[in-house]
Amino acid sequence: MNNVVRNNSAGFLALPAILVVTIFLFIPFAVIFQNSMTIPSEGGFAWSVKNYTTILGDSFYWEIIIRTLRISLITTAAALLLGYPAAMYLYFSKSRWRRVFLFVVVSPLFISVIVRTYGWLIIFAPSGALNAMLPEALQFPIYKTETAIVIGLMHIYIPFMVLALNASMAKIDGRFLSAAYSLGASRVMAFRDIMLPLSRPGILSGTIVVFSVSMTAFSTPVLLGGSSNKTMAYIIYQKNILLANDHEGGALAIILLLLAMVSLTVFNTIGDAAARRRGGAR
Amino acid sequence: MNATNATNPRDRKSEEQDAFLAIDGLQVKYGQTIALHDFDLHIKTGEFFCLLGPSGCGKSTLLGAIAGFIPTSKGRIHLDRTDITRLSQQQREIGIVFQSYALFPHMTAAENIAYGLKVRQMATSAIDARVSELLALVKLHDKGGRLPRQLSGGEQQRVAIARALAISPRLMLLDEPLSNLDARLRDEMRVELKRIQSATGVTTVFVTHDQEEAFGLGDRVAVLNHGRLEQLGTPEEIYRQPRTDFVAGFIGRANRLQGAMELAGDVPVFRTGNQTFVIKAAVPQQGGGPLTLLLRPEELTIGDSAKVNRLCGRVIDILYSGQTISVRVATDCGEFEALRMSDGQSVPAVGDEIEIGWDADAGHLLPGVTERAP
Amino acid sequence: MNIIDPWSMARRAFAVLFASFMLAPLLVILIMSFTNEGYNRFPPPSYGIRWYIAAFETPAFQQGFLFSLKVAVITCAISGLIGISAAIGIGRSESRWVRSMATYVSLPLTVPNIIIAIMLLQTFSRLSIASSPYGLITGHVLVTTPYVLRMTMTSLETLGRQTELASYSLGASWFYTLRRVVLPQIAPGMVGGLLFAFLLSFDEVTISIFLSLPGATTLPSEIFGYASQGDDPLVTAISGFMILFAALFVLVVEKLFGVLRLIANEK
Repeated sequence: MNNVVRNNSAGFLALPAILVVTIFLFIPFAVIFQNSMTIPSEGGFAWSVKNYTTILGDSFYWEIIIRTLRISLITTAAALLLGYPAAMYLYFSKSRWRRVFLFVVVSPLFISVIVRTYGWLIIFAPSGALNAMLPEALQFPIYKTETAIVIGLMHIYIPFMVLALNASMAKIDGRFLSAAYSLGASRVMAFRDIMLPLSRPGILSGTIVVFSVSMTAFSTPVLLGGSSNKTMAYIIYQKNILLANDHEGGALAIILLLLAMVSLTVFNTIGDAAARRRGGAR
Repeated sequence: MNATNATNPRDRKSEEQDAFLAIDGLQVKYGQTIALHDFDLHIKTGEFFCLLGPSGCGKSTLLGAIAGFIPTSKGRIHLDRTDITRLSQQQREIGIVFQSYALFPHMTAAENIAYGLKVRQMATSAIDARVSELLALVKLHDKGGRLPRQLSGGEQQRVAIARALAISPRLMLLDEPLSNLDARLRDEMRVELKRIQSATGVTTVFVTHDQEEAFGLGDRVAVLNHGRLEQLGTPEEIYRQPRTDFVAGFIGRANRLQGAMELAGDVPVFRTGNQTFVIKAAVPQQGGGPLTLLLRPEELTIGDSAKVNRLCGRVIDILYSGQTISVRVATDCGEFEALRMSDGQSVPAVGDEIEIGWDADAGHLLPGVTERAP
Repeated sequence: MNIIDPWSMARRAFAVLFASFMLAPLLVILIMSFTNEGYNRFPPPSYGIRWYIAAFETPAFQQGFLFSLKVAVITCAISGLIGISAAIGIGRSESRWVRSMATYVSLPLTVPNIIIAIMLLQTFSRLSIASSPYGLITGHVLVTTPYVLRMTMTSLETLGRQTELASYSLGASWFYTLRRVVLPQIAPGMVGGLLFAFLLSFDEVTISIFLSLPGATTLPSEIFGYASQGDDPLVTAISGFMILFAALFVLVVEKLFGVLRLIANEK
């Protein structure tokens, strides 16, 4: 059997999947792009950037954009701060509890986001579990706040952070730390000089994943934040579903997509700069 | 107990007191399995000491226990008369070269070497001076700015050694450092290691499963098996006078004959079946119990009728390996392997009837009956 | 060294707290779903299964569950077919161009679900095709195919080419080799990918909410509708059901493959 013949004949097996992506990703994108760049006019549609200028000229939308960025940033930072020690536990633990811990971290991924969100809803609700367990003097309003959104999002997306960190820490040879200790480094030094720089790829990928899913999350901010803490996803829903405005709705979707892409570029740049600074240090 | 290796109690006492690294009654457990049993070992100042054994024999465990990253459950470790059993890895000041080198991948060779000094907050100028001194010692003057992945295996090895030496360790531990190198580089690094060790004079413990490495490098060698010390001695002692069957089998190849000593007239002879051989080797036990006669392949000659002990047999296999030729001979007493130099002289062919022989002072006796090596 | 190390104590304490945080919302749902009262109260004053019965008798949940199952099965079938076939085509190719198609097919994963939802919503409305189930299944196929592709390709890579080449050397044709040698050996990866696609579709929320139509609504979308009215013992019970359903699913997957191996590359 000739290799060349076999490969040529097998390559076309990818065709259906390629077609599905091409047709259902690129054509629909063209559709929303066209919708976002047109406005209804008599007898049809006219090209215009009015949808964008309306949105970007309105402080109402800016407030929502900034809230969305703020929530995603805090969520990502919290997920990193909490996820890093969790990944370290997975890295260092050799006991049988390690597997249990990993299972506990990973298994919520099998449960619908809506259910995990609802779990926080009945914890935070006025008659919910949190207030039931706190003495009256310590009770505080958390239901329908940004804090509630952040906690909910962080809980839902932290497994991604831990898995990303775990994947990059798994590549760190344990002997690097032994070597550092044998050369006299303290735990803090070994962490700062070895662990942290070598886990940077995981920090970067975990941050990027958590940030982008937090930024575009829909059901969690809606259920835990309510209408007084609208995020981008919330108004996209409002515009497209409740108001059926495809033009401004499309523009909002594209703005969100651009925002996400710009943020990721920023993260990547910061990550590269950190790597370069480290590499250049001598 | 053992005639050939009996140690004068006074000598042992002084050896223990002179020991630079003293390990007494050390025990290491992994869960329920014991990796090291009540282990004693005493290493002298400036010595190049080899721990030799098959994988899983406990040699790496012992190394880890000395370095401090494997917890011990019993016993004590003294380094230069101070008890380091409970000291942290950082406080021990022991340099380690790992099998995988464990060079920090994000630091250059020079940064790797400098790391232990930076940790000690040495002045930058002093660090730079020390780093170039070490780079020179390991002959990497111009490669300090490279990252580990830009260095060859042998160069990485040198950086790892320099990094461990940088902190002026009280003791150097080398964990199979040559096993990741190809054969040619391995020979080269062996010479280098010896040179670096004598240049620095640092007491060195070298772990390996390769007897050639151990014998070529070690002033003394300890053979380990199943977490116990099988034998301790110079390479020569261990090769010529293996104390246990394990050592005999692990170190080089050996022909074994089962039998017992008896007197033929007033000459002590070794009897196996209806054959007797004249053996001058010391008898390891009194009272005439069963014994195993151990004959190294190179002690046997082929077709030399001048030898005191001779056995007739038929050649069943011939194996050429460069300098030597190994001849397998089937005799009434079982199969023998004889080794001779490939010196261009005629070699018997498979099927030839030949005579193998050995001198009276060849061979070594072990107590008891042991399995013949396959 | 049997000294109690403050570091390891801190590590263990953290692990316990972290695990409690991860499990808290799920445990609260499970506890509250067995309340016997007419309102949410923690902890419930009395226990019973009355809300589970009520939830099972709610037509919206019944229809939602059946609809979700149907969508998930169809999604799983389509993305299984195109994903596995693409994995074989791409995974056994030496052409760099064909290999780059793996990234291309994974492109939908880099697009946020909400954007996919809006794109399909506007496109299907332009074409005057019902967004549910057609747009919905399209969306789910887009986001699940990459997983099927990746998991099958990983299996193919671990398998290596030796048995395949052995089969050719024995005179077997390409198709025969695929059928009798390759596919049986990568079955675990394929089945893993299919199960993952099924669950992903069954659990998916955002695309479901945006594209669902009256009478053609998934269970997560129904739960969203109810939950946006606030806490409700009926929703707690159906959420409890979703957790138990997922637990059963995970149990089956664990028996077959090991969940951890599937997700975290653990042996």
